[in-house]
Amino acid sequence: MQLSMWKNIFIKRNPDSELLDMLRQIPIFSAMSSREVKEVQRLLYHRKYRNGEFVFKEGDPGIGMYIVVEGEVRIVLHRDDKDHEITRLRRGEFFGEISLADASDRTASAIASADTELVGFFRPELLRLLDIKSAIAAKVLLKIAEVLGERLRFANRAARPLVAQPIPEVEAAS
Amino acid sequence: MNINELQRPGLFKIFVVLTAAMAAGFTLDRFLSAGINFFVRVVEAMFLTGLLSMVFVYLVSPFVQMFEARGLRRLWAVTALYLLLALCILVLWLVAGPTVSSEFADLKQDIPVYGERFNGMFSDLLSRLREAIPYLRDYDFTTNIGEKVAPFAETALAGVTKSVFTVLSLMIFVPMFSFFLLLDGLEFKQSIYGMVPNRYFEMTMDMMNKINTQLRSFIRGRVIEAFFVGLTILIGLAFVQLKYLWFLAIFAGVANLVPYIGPIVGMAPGLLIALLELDSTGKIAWVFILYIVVAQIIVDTFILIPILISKVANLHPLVVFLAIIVGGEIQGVLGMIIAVPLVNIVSVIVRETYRYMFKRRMTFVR
Repeated sequence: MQLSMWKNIFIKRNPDSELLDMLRQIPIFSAMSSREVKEVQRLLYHRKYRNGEFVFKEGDPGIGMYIVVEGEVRIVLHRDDKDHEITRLRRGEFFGEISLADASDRTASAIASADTELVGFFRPELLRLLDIKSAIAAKVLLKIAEVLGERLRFANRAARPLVAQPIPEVEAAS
Repeated sequence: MNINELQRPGLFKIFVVLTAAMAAGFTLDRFLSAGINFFVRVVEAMFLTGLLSMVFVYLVSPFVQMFEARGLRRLWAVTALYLLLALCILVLWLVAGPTVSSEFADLKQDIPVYGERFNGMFSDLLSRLREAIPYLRDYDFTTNIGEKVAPFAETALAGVTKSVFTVLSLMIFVPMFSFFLLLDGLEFKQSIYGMVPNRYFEMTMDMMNKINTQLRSFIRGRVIEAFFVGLTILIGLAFVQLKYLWFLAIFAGVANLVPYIGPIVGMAPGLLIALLELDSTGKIAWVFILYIVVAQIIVDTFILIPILISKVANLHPLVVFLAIIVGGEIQGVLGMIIAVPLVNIVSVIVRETYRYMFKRRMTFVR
């Protein structure tokens, strides 16, 4: 606990253009100019996680999304006392965007599977952006809607055969 | 060998050591208590400045956001707001300043006159009472009441002087502190969240966000409520051309910040001055109706409170009373005004923490 406290204080809060470039490659920020991405970058929170540390837990109130800057994150569903890994996310990929749109509870857990650095973009900042720079916020929200739409289509396709595919079991997280 | 001679240097040494130890002890104690005293004073000063800055920031941040939405950078948005506020204060000072200051000067002269007139009314009432109730004939009201009231009046005056000094120093520090809060608020917030351990990070952020939303509507609601109550009194008193209407309106508005007791305290000087100054019964009745029915019941209870304060869960009246008493004891009039919002902040924090930890079945272990 102490370690992560100090670790988070000394993280550089305005990282260099590398992060800016990475952000621009993420679908949510891809339609923005670099000035606009810089504006969003000011609102991001930098966090570091050790291997095996929870980013959030299934069922907790969600407040926003994370982007993987370094390391790897496992997205895990806990069913019947077992953890089922859904996906692994690496540099440049993002998760938790549903909570950014509707402040709902987390639908799965996110666990760092290596020493990981994330940047978080949260609802209060999105709402603030809507007030101050509504054009930028509209671009973010449009992209989130597109991503969510794509996932909904994927889920519909997957559900069409009405045959539940067994989810491959993996080792418990802890 | 003489025993006394042997012991003398030893005794002297002990005496020296003990004296030095006592002196050092006293010095250390004085330093420590001075240090603790200084620390307490710093915390006291910072606390009030911080709290009022927070209130100020909550009130003005929508305007800063408005300027930012128009394309101004944060620094210029905050500077523009300060310039605009300075201009407003200047205009207000030019328009109402002379009236208000002459009202204050008049009031200073009039208070003894009012005192005498009030005494006259009181003794008139008394003589009628004595005629009606023979039992009261031997009771010396004036001396007895005077003796009992004098200490309270002195305490109140001392409190006001202290408050005036505090208010003056706050008038300089609060805008300064708020300027930096408005300018770098986001960076402050990010630094503070940076200190929160990962496992509590999302919970803290969610909770702080909820507390922030509650406080924002509470503080904005209270101040807007006080403003409109004051405005109602100002307009209402202008109809009957009551003396000191600016002073009375400001007083009623500010007093309205203190729940339950505030409105009563706020209307007392108005009703008293109306009784002493106005000659027609209709006008006096209008002032009473204005204060009690129009300002408190219609404007405050029926219009303002449902719109402004309903979003915030109210405290139990008993808690509010206790808060006001303790606040008044610690900080005087200023303490009475800030006690209730402060207790509200604490109650929101406690409620949200409780809700998060127990209702959401939040687990703190991995």
